[in-house]
Amino acid sequence: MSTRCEASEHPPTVIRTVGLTKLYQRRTVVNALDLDVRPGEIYGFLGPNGAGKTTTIRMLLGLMRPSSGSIELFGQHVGHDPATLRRVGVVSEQPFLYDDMTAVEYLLFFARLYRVSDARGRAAMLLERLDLAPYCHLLARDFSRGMQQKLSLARALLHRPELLILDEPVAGLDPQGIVQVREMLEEERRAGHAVFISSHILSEVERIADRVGIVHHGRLLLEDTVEAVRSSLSPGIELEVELLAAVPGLEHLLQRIEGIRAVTRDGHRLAIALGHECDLRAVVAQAIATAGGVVIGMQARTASLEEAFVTLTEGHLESLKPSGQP
Amino acid sequence: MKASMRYVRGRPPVPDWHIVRLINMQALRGLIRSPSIYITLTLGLVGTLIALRNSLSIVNSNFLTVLFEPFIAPLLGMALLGSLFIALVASLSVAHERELGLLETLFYGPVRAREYLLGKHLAHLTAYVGMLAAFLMACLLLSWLTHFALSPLLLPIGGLAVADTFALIGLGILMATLTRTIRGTLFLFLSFVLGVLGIHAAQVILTGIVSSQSFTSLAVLRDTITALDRVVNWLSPAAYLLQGTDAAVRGSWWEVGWYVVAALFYGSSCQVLAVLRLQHTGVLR
Repeated sequence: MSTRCEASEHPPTVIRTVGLTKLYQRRTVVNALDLDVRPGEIYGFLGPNGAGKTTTIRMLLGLMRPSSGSIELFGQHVGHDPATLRRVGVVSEQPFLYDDMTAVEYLLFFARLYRVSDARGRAAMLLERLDLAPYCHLLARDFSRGMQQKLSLARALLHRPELLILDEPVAGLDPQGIVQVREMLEEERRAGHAVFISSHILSEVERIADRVGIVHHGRLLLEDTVEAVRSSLSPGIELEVELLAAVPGLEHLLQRIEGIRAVTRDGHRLAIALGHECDLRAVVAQAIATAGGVVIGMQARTASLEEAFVTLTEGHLESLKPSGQP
Repeated sequence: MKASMRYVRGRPPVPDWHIVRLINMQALRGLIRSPSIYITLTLGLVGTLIALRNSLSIVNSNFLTVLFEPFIAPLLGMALLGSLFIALVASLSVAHERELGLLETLFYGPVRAREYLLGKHLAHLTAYVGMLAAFLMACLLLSWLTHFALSPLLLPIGGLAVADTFALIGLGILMATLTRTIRGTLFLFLSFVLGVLGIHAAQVILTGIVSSQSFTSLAVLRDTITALDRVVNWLSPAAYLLQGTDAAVRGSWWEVGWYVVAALFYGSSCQVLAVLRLQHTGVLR
């Protein structure tokens, strides 16, 4: 059976799943998941705990059998070609390390498993890059959680994989470590490699991902660019206005302006909800001045990916409730 | 749509020997660094010294000039002790790495069940051969010190012990794949060993009682336990070593060869079953 039969009909993909489903004792953990991850892109696979992210990753890597559906990595069905998995680097949620190996021994062991040429040089370069070089002769079990996570990333990058699959890669990292990881992932993207990040730390994914897929209860609810997801799920722009002093009746006045959907006041601060693509800053400032107010600060704020995510997953929860239930 | 692919990661059919060697080296290094292997060897040597001291006492008290094969019993003791120890360590090592999630990390990449388990199997067998070689060297030294002759039978019995250990390690690894935890593996292994010893002890005791007194119900029990003991003799690799040693002392070399082949077949079968089991259950914790 040809495993490349569909390659000519679609643009090249690194990961493709069609109708991927996993059932656990009649419970659907992953539900008809269709994914396409392309070379040179960072794909954020987002979802709350228990959404089916790790199960999906395990199926992608052939560690779990799907109940139905198909998975292709680099156009090859998983499990048919062991060489395919040599092209993938994986960082799992927990950094599983050998108790009795130092950091450098750990990396050399995996470098030899993957037949990396110049294993020592590559391991030394990655340890240096991730600030682990001073600790390379310490037992990996004595590392902090963040250092273990960095060591796992170094292991995943040793063989220069064309696809990186990362399950919560920044968990336990300090801010400096997060920046290092981000830079390395951006380098991978520039090299034309694909990165598939599963995470619920959305602020980090928002910074680096080209596209995101939001999964909830095993279903892919939305898949698009970060910008498109934000704008499609947020109600619009919010203006935050700080006044020198409260002005009576100002909310009423502002609500009469076309394009303003709602105004709320909290002491000297006003929160003004606008529709999409409305820049009413000048109009609002004018109206406040007319009413006798003095603006000392004004800021337009768009919804974050996190807010979009909450809107989507909560909305999905609401839609799952039987009618009549609170 | 039904899953259109086989997820049994069993290809290629021939193991990747590069990976087997690496797993083997890694496991062997862990064994060499562990003090338990040296403790076992020391226990074996202490047992040997006690046995030789008794032999020397017998020689002195009975004015004997010839003592039949003084090193065979210590070798058998060491071979059995080492064999059980190394099989237990092999099974716990597989269970430990699975419980820690290390198998998951290995299987993300090019490692497959057959390479992993074969590497583990060979590493523990190599450690056993090293332990036995060190013991035989110590026997050589003790022979020079005590003037007790080293029997030429020690070498074939040593070979038989290696084949027996191959089988026992295979059994231990199979047990590790049947459970997902260290505790479960330890329980299964000890239950097996104690079960085999218990049945054999019961058979010996019942044979002694019933031969002197003719109780019908005891005779039935004796016959049942004896039949069970015969079955256990085929299931327990240690029995192959004892029976093969007996055959070697009698000079029945074809019988010794038969026990070696049986032990190798036993170990290989366990290895294949363990690979199939791991492929079926997966490597996840």
